[in-house]
Amino acid sequence: MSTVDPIAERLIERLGGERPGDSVDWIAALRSRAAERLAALGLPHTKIEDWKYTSLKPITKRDFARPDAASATADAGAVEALRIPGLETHRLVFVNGHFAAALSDRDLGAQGLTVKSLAAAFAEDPEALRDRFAALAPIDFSGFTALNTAYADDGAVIRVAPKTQVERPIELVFLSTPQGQPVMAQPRVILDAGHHSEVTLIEHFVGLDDAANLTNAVTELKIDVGAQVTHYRLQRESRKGFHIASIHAEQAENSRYASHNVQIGGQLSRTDINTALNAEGADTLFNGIYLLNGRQHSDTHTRINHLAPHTYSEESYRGILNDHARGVFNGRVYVAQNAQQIQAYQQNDNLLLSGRAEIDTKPELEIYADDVVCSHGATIGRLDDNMLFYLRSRGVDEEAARGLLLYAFAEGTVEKMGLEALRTWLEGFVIDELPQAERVREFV
Amino acid sequence: MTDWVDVAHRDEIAHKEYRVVDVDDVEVVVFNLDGEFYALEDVCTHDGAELSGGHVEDECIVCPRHGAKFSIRSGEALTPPAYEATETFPVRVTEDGTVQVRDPRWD
Repeated sequence: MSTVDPIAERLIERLGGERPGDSVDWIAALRSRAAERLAALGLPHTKIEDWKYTSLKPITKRDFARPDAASATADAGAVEALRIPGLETHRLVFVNGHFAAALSDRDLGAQGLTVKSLAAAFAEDPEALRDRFAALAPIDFSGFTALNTAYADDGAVIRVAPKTQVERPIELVFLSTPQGQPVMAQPRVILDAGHHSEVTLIEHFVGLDDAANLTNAVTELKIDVGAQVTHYRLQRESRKGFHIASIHAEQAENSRYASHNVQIGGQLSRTDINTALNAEGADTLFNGIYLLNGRQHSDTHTRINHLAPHTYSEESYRGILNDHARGVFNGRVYVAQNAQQIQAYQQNDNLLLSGRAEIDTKPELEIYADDVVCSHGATIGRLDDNMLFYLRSRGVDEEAARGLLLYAFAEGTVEKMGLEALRTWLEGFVIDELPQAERVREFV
Repeated sequence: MTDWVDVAHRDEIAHKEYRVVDVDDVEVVVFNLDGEFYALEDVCTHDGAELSGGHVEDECIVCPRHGAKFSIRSGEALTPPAYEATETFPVRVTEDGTVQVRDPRWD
C-alpha cells in the first residue's frame, strides 16, 4: 500500500484543477501519473543526501496558491525596462507562470524556428510533444519535477530545424508578481535543437514588488548531432521569493551545450542542472556564479554524465557570500565504464566576506572507465591580503581595492559569456551586488 | 526592524522546558530557566539539524542526535561534536506575561 505524503496531499488539494492538454488522453494520463508520484515522493527534505544542506521548511510551511491566469499581466513599462540593452531577442513574457501574449513579441518565428507557448503547443499539435514532454525530466527526479509535470500551467516549446542558425537569442522572461496571496508558478520549457543547428536561450526570472511567490521551473533540452545550444539562466527573484528549478539536457554526437547560470535573487533557491553526453564528441560547459547576501540561501547541484568515449566537460562555478548567506554547491561527474578517453574538469571557488556566511561545496567524481582525464577543485577563502596590499601600494584605498578584487573574481565567470550586450548588462548587476558598488563604478 | 513574536504565556513554559516558534522563517527554541527566558536558534551547529527534541540538562540543551551540549544562556557549544555556538535571540516578557522573541539580525 502506498502512503501519501501530507505536504504533497496539501499541494495536490490546492493546485488541482483543469490544465492545458487535459482533453488529450496521453497528457491527462501523464499528469495523473505525475500527481501520484508526487503523492508518493513528497517534497525533498534534509534526510535525503542531495538535499542535506537545504531545508525546505520555509516553502513547505506556506500554502502557495495556483496563480490566476486572468491576472497574468504586468505593467508594460516595467516589463520593457527589463530588456537587455543592445540585445535583439525573440521575447516571450510569462507572468506567474502564465504566458502573457500582450507583453511578448508578436513575430516569434523565424526561418527554421518555431516558438510557441506550451498551452498553444498542446492545443495545436499535442502529438508532436508525446515523446518530448517529461522525456528528459523524469517525474521520479524529485517531487518538484513531478509537481511541475502534473501542474504546469504554461511554458514554451521551441523547435529549431536542422542546420538552422538562429541569430537572435530566444528570451523567456518569467515575472513573479504579488497576487493577493503567494502563488506557485510552474513554467515548463521544452527545446529541440535539430542537427547542426545553433540557438541561444535566455531564461530570465525576475521578482517584482517583493513578490513572495515560488517558481518551480523545469527545462528540457534535446540537442541533436552537431547542434550548439547556449543557455543563459538569470535568476533575479525578489528577496522574499523562492526559486526551484531543474534543467535536463541530452546531447548527441558532436553537440555542444554551454550553460551560464547566474544566481542573484531569492530568499531560498535550488537549481539542478543535468546533462547526458550520450555520444562521441559531445561537449559541455557549465559556467555559473552565485552572489548572496543578507540571509539568502542558494543551492546548486550539477550532474554531468559522460556516457560515451571522447566526450569533454568543463565546469566552473564561483560564489561570493556576505552577511549570513549560505551557499551550497554539489558538482557530480559520472563517467561510465565505456566512456574512455573523456576529459572532465571541475572547479568551484568561493569568497566568504563575513564570518557568518557559509558555503558547503562538494565535488563528486564517480569514474568507472580507466583511461580518462578528470580533475576537480574547491576553494573557500577570503580576499587575499597580498592582492589588497598590492592595490593599496598603488594608491587605491582599501574599500575600492576590496571592491575591485571582488569584481575581478566575478568577472572570471562573466567573461566566459559570449553575448557581449548581455555581458555588459550583467556586469552592472554584479557590481550592484558588491558591498563597495559605488567605489567599483569609479574604476570600471 | 523585525517585530516581536509571541511564544506563549510565561506560565505555559515550565522550568527547564522549551517551546519552538517560527520567527520570520527562523526556527527558535525559547527556554525557561528558573523564570528567566532564553532563546537559541533551533540548529545544532554540528549537523545543521534541530536541537528541539533534545532534553535540558543543568543549563544546557543536549542535541537529540549526537549529544552535543549547548549553553542555553549563551548558545556556546560546550561539548563535541559541536564546536561553534548557535545563534541567540533577545527575549522579553510583556506586562501581561507574554513571552516574546525577535530576530534582530536583519534590522
